[in-house]
Amino acid sequence: MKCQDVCKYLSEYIDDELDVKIKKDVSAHLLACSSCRAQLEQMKRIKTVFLELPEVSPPNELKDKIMSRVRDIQEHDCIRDIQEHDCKSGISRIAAKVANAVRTPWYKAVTVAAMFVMTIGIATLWGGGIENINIIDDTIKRSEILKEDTHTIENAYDEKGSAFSNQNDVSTDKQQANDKDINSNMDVKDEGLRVEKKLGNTDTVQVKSSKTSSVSNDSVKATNNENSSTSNQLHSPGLGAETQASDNQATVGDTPNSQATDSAAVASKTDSELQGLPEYHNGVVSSYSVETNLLISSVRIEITTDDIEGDIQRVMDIVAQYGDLLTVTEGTIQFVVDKKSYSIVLSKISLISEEVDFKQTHKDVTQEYNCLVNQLNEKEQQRAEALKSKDQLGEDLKKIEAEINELKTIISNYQKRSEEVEVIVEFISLQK
Amino acid sequence: MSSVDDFKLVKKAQSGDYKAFEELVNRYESKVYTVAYRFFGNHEDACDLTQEVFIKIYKSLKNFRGDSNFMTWVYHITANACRDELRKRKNKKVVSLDEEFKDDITLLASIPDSALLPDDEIERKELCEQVQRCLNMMSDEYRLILIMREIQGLSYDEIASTMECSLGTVKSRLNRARASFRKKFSALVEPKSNLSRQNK
Repeated sequence: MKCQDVCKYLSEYIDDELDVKIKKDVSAHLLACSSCRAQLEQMKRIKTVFLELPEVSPPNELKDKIMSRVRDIQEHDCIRDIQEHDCKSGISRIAAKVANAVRTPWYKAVTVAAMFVMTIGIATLWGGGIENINIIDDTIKRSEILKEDTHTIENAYDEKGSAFSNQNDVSTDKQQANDKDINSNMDVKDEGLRVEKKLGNTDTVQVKSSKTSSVSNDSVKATNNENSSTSNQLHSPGLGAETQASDNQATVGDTPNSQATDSAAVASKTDSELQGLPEYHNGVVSSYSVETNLLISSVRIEITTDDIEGDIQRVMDIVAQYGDLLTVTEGTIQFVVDKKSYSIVLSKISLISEEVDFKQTHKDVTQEYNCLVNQLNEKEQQRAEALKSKDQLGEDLKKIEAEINELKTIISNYQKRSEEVEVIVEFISLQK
Repeated sequence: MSSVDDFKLVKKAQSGDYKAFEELVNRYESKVYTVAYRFFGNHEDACDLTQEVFIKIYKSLKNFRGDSNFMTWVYHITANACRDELRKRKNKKVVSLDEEFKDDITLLASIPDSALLPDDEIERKELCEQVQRCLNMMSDEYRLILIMREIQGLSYDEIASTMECSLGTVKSRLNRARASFRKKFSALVEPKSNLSRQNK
């Protein structure tokens, strides 16, 4: 074997990757040739030099950055899937969802959907303008009015005219930019959900918390005369003429009665209420305001699957990401999720299995809540009077304050529950 | 989850399991980062590339059929990401690594013997810098194959799978890469080595 040939094999020789015969020949040559032996020694030394290199460790925050980007992609993908799915079948898709939700055959749901379309048509003629049937535009106008009035945070997607601009949502600029598309997409989805629920003649799903949400939901709710009666309980005076006028124009598909009620509902929002500030009642600052539409929502989800263990884990992962776990029993997971994240949680769960059934229930607690708020206002007035009158200082004041605190706790609890959705996920095995 | 093998984790991650993917990141983050660091020679680029690699992995996870080992698939994506990034930079005409090296050649330290001297730590550090400089001077393919073999310890078969080439190509390319590295390394260290010998 010549030096030239040996050079070709040196690398494999030091890695012990040569055939036995070639290795024998190379070894024999190396014994005789000092030049090739020197090359081999250098190569071996270089191999040890590489081993001398210290290990490099990635910075601690790198994994978080990666996972944060993955989460963003996951959410985008999830929303895109839903949108693609929804776009495929239009009203038949809505009908299918309604049928699923109320557990009726699809053709019945189609009938309900057709009735809805007819109702909208009639209402349009009655209301006197095609622009009135545009639910999304209407809610946009409302949120824009609110935005102008309240001068609150201007979210990027407000500019797009999102009906669900969440004015409480304060995040960093970067986060806002990342969330922009997600949120705007979610808004579209939420609109769809609301319309679907209306089709099914079920209660309105309150996907969004915050006052903006309750006002915008009036547009859907207004066609339901039963629900519109709750708006009459509002008592706060005053609203700028501009808002009132705009609202009258913006009412959607309302009957004349509900239109009036709806106007009253929005008109009853005082400037302070719109800004999220406490109201004044006879000179006393009230801690809480009455609500027009306070719902406590829950949803029961049945997942029929042949991979119960895997699906439980998937739901648990979603809970870990978006909600607070309450209980886990055999085949059932119970958790609460913020209404803000409700839509995305539902969509993620719906992608887990082919057979996922949802049953939503909503309890209207507006009356109980407003009753408690009125009681609280009275107690706060009593307290103010007691403070003015030095004679009543002492036991009476303590008693009133204790009652106030108790009422505040109950009211806060109502508020908290109205901002969340209780989700019960039940797994049904296909193998049974 | 550490006892679960890669394949199961990949399956879970493919079905949208976030935690499973996180576990895969835990397992391979360091490997990808090391390759990227040795390829570019700095932490900043290594961080950026590692992020890009895992995003690519996440996006193309659905296409991973399990025909090859997940580890080699990760290395394959990493190697491609390194090449792509370098190609982009070449188009942008960034600073030439060779030129940088030429300026620094007189400052390089001597090659150490196996028995380390008292100031061995300094020499060791300098040696590491030289190794990195030599790597930077090599072509992408030589650099990658040396990193995969010498630093990551991949077998010839794994390298063939990672680099998508035949076993024969791996053998010949590795031999040439080692020979090239040896020449560069000798060129760097010999003058200084001779100088220190003369001083003694």
